[in-house]
Amino acid sequence: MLYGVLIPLAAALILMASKRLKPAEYITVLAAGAGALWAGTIAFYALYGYVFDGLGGLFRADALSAYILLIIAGLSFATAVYSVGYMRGELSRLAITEKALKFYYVLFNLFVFTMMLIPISNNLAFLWIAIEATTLVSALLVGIYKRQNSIEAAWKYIILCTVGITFALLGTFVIYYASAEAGTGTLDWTELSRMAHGLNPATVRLAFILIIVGYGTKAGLAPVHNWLPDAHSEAPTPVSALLSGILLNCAFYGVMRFAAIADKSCGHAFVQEIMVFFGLASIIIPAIFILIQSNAKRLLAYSSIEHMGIIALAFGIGGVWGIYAALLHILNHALGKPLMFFVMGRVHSQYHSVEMGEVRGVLGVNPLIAVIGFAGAMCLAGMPPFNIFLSEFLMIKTLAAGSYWGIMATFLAASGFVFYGFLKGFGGMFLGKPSLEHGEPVSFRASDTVLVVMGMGILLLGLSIPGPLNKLINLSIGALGV
Amino acid sequence: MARNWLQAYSVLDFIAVGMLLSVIAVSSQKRLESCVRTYVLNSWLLAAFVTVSAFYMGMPHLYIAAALTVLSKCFLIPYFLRKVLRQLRVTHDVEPYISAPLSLLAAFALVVVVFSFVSQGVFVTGVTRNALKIAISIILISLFVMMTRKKAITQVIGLLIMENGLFLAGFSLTYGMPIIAELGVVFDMLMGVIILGLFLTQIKKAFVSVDLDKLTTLKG
Repeated sequence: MLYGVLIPLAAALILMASKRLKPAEYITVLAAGAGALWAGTIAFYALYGYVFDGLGGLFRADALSAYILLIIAGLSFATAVYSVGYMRGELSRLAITEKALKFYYVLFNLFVFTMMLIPISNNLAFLWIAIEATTLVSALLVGIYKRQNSIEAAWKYIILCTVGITFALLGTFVIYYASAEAGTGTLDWTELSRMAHGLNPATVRLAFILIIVGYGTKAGLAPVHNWLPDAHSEAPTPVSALLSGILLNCAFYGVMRFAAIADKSCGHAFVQEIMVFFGLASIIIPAIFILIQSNAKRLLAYSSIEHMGIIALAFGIGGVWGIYAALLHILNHALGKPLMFFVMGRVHSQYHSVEMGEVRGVLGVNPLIAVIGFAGAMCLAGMPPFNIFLSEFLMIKTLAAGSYWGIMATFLAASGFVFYGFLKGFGGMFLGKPSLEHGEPVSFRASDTVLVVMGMGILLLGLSIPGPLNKLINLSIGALGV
Repeated sequence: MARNWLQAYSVLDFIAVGMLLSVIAVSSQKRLESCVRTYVLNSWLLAAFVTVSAFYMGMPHLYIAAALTVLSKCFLIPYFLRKVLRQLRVTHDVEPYISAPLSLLAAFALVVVVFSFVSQGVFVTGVTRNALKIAISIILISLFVMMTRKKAITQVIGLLIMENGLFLAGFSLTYGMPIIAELGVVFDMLMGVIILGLFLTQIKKAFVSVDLDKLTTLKG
């Protein structure tokens, strides 16, 4: 069953062999669709408690894997569909050559493949390999325009993330050492979490610190986030959506798996302290930077740091409800952020700019995009009735239940700043007085369908959580062993 | 017999110290070619460390790890680095932001700090307990080298040396990971070097230079 992960790899290999562009687009969309169906099947089985094993325990898909896999595959499909129209537009305005565009689709499939490997890797070394592989592939995607800025961003991204992730490898070595010390040396996560109570807490503590610095760099947690705003704003828009919406969560998935072991070995208080530190830092620092951004894509990149901070904070507070809020927020952010990037892509193809000072009053020119864009902005700012409000509310409830008043006040204050930043930036962009210069309205039917579906998604998930989703999240919490 | 001899003369410690000295040498070297050469020396020492500990601990799977190290770090990566250096036709100077003596001093300071602060309490691994401290020193010095050099390619060399330090730490802690994991990690690193090389040529094309101080437009 787990061999379905090979679908995007096969697609990438076929694209490498073929020469023409048209089939590349269709194959990418088809492969992403097949991947989504495959992930859906695994998630469906996970609802009934099935756990898939592969290659003698190297790969494994429990409920949490299935949940993350479903998010990756679903969003990849949406991005693949969106890519076709958007990248054709980029091709026609000569932002990218046909050869580079073909390479883009090869990399796109490889990138999806490496991301799908992450949640199903049960061996911690494989997890590391998969996460590092995503960096290598996505750095090429970030730099695909070969402009000065995009090359600079890609260089910064690959160097900082590779250095960061080196620490995660050291952490993996240390956890292997801890298990060897306690009996049998193993990197199998299931095995490790079974023997976690017997591991030396001091060693596990060191391992967890190394891991959170390493994977935290990749997950965009402050204060090790410096590469993120550059990479996410300079990448082609569909790639920005993938980076912000799901790649960050993939790296955070690594942190979650290690946290589950550390939780059992050295107690929850230690894990909580570290995660709350990184969470709060990632909420406060971008809240300030969001206020001074003029480029909409950069603003969205900072907002990603903030949302990763919220996820880390909720996960760090822990307990069933804290983790529930974190997991739900992962899904909500993975819907809301790519939606906003897609909107920015549409704005860019019309105005050739995403500077918030230059693009104004989209409502009069392209009402559909403006309405969805404004809804998306309000969603990311945590306003009801959208889905992100729901998971943030859950987190606040958890904070109140545990009487973490200081943390709650900090979070609410930062949210206020973020709301103001979003309203100032996107309010003028979508609803303000139309700017004098604007390009021809362009329409990509498939891309607009994606936007409408995702827009409905953020609204419906804000009104209620469907039963199966609720069950899958609860099973995922169980898979972490809380 | 040979094992006793290895222990009596602390051969593993000697090799590890050799690695440390070569990294300190990199922090003061002025020419890119000699940096690459020292990196190769460093990699050979790492391979020797792995081989000796394989023999000493009687763990045959470590010989494969040693062979992997030699193949990737002593031949493939240096070959690729030299090729990129030729392609870029960069001037041969490293152009550090700070002078060589100062950089040496900082490297020594880092070693002192690591040796006085990393306690032996957490890790009791007998013969290799010094190797861990040396590995951490190597990682920190190479980070320092990465931060204080102007040319993009020295960042790559710094990163590679850092990975050598990491593997030294890994081997001294765990005597190697399962071999299939090791293969994957080495593959990732090879791909990493190739992709970094690709970007170096792109930087050269886009900026007409490989100096990192040109890469400063993205801020805030």
